[in-house]
Order: sequence, then C-alpha cells, then structure tokens
Amino acid sequence: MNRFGMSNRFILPFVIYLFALSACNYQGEISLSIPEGQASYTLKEFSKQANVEIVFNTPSVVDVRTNAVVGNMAPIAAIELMLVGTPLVFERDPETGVFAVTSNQIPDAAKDADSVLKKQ
Amino acid sequence: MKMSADNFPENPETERKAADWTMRIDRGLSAEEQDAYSQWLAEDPSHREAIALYRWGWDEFDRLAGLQTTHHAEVDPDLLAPGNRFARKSRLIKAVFAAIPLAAAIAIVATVFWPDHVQRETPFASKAAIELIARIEQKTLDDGSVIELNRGAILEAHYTPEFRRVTLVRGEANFEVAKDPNRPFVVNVAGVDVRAVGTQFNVRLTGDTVDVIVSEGIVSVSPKEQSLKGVAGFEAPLLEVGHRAVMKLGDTPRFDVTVLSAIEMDRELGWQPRLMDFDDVPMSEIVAAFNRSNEVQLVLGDADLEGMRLSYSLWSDNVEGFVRLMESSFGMRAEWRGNTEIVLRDIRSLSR
Repeated sequence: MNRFGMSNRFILPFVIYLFALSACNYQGEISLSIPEGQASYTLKEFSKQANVEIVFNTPSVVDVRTNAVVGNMAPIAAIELMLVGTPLVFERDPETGVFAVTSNQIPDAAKDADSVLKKQ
Repeated sequence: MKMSADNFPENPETERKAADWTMRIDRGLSAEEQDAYSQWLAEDPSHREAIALYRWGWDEFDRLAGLQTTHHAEVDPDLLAPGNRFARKSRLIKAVFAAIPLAAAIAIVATVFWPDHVQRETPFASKAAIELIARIEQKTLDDGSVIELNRGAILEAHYTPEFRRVTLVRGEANFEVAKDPNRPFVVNVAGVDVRAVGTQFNVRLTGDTVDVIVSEGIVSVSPKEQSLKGVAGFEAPLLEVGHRAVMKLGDTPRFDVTVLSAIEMDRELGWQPRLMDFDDVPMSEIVAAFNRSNEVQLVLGDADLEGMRLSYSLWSDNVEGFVRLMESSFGMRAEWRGNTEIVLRDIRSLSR
C-alpha cells in the first residue's frame, strides 16, 4: 500500500483494462502498395499484402474499380480507402479478422432478412 | 480451450497430484521431476485430463496475476496520521475513486459476458461445438521449432542445455523441428519418447494409443525408460518419411510400423490449416473445401446457395469466421445440427 491508500489498487487494473480494450481493436500498421484497378484483382492483392483473410461475392465486384493505396497503415484503414466512392462495402469479423466485401445493395437484402426473422 | 467442471476428475488423489504437478511445472521441473511427471502422466488417461484442467485453471490465475498492483518496500508511517494531506481528501474524491473499480467491474462484466453471448447465441449453440471450430494454434518455441496444435491439444515445453523436451499431454500436434545436432528434440507422449534432430512429424494421443507419422527426416520412437537409460533388449523403431508407428500403451508396449502412400499422408495430416485461395468458385466448392479439413461439416440447406459465386482467401480452419460473415454479409442463416454440422440457409427462403 502507498500514500494513495487502497484507491490505486483499483485504478491500475482499470487503466490496464482500458489499454487492453484498445489493444483488442488495434491493428498494426503495414506497408502497402496496391494500385488502382479491378476489384477482383485488387482485393486479393490487399489480402496478400496485408496478410488478412478475405471473401467477396464475385458478381458484385465485376466492373468495379478500387482506389490505389500506398503507404503504412492498418489493414482496416487501407480497405476503407480502397472502397471510398465505389458501390462496395466491407465488414470485418471481430473475432477472426476476416474481411467480407459486398455490394452496398446487399444491406437491403439483409434488411429483408431482418424483417423475415422478426416475423418468425 | 474451454474447460468446465463436467470434465473434472473425481479421484481426490489424482486431483491432489495434478495440483501438485501444476505448481511444480510453474516453478520449473528438474530432470528427475520431468521423468517422474512423464511417468505419472503415462499411468492413467485420467491423469492427463486432470493436469489439463489444473493447467487451464492456473493459466486463468496468471491472467489475474497480471492485474496486480506494485508493492513498495518502504512503509509510509504517516499515511493515516491526522493532518496527512491524503487523509484529508474530501469525501467526494473518495467517492470518485471508489466508483472507478465499480465502473471497471461493470465494464469488464459487460464486455466479457454480454457481447459474447449475444454473438454466439444464434449460430453456435453448444460449448462442445464451439471447441470443435476453434482456430488451430501455432506455437514457435525458443529454438525456432514450429508446432501446430490441433484443436484441444495441450503441450508443455521443458528445454535444458542438453535436451529440447516437450510433453504432449493431450491431443494431436505436428512438429517442425529446428536443426540442432547437439540438442535432441524429444516429444514425450504418455510414456513414449519420439526423438528427432531436425525433422517434421505428427504425434497424436488418443486413449491408450500413440500415433506417429514422419513427413521429413528420421525419428526414433521408444518407451521413455529405454530412450533415456539405454535398457538393453529393446530396439527402438527408426521411422523414415512416410512411416507411421502406432503404439498400444501398457506394461509391454507394442509398436506397429506401416508405410503410408502420399494420399494417405495427405489425409492423415489434413487437419493442419492451409490457405485456401480461389477465384470465382461456386459455394458448393467452398463448402467441400472446408469439409475436407474440418470435423465440423457445412451443409447447404438451399439449392440456390450452391451456385452462389465467391472469391476468397481463407485459412481452412476458419469455419467460424466464414460462417459468421455468411450470416452478417451474405444473407444466410446458420443452424447447428448436432455438434458437428452447420446448415447454411438463404434467409429469404425462410419466408417462402
């Protein structure tokens, strides 16, 4: 025990807890150099360079071009930049880190799905 | 690994011994203790279960230990004396400090329990099923040797200047051993030693059977006593690439050595995760690829899904992540059928 008495027994775990929370969401920066191009190619290139898993619906990326990304950044920041201004959106599985890329029309289907579930 | 009181050994003596070994392992085993420990593990399968449970519990305590505050050697004699500026803190400040741990506790409980339950409730029903789709673990030891641990496997490493010794307490593991001719790499499994210098091999412990498959180099297999003390009258089998040794444990261990074909090798070692990288393939093909590598089998509940075309780069053991994203991003619903089957359905078909 020190002059702060019992209080910092609890402050330290709390601070550690906050650090742990941020660490859970932290993805290290990596060097990426992905050219502008066809999404079917660039998304795979992103997966290779960022060393992450990815899955996407092939028909929904046909004729879609993604933005070039060059520099050090976290994978999630990189894919955000790649997809800005395209009809594609992404989701990242929080537990296993896999990225899913779909057309932004898919959420409508998901809405239908939600309404189906609610009716049941 | 998930553990519960359901798999707790009921023999108090076994429990006591397991607790004792857990403590000793934590402080480090001497060579004699290592021998005695290996022998105790080999005596009865329940010993391996018990040590697995206690090691898990000990690891959980380690996590708590990480939250300890620091202690100071010098005591502050005036800490509680009248007039001490810290003793004069207002009640408000004290209340604020008192509220912090409470807030932390609530936050921890909320984070650890609430979201997890919410996420897993729908697709992943049973605890046993969750363990079956856990990711396969890879460990790199101090010498650079790489070990893949199959689901549920437990391994302990005890390195000395003379030996690199590891104990496979439970399950299956694949070893890619870094070359070091001066320091043999020895895997002890239920009283059997598998020795290598620089090689790759697979060891599986199921009940009273030890199964060793060599995929690179040469290894020797022998009961621990012969291996360490050189007891005469026993010839340790030398296994080469493609050889498989199956040992029935007991008072007189029996070794059966066979040669596997390339196809058989692939099938036996297929549990190791591999990166599956495909462009524009039908869903039926993706499901088949996952099913070849996992005990949990995916089933397409709607014919419409079979033709859905995906491109992906996924590790073969990541069934969990794949299924979850199929639900959240691709309009599917996953349902467990028993503990080893997940049925994927097109959610729109549920309304038809």
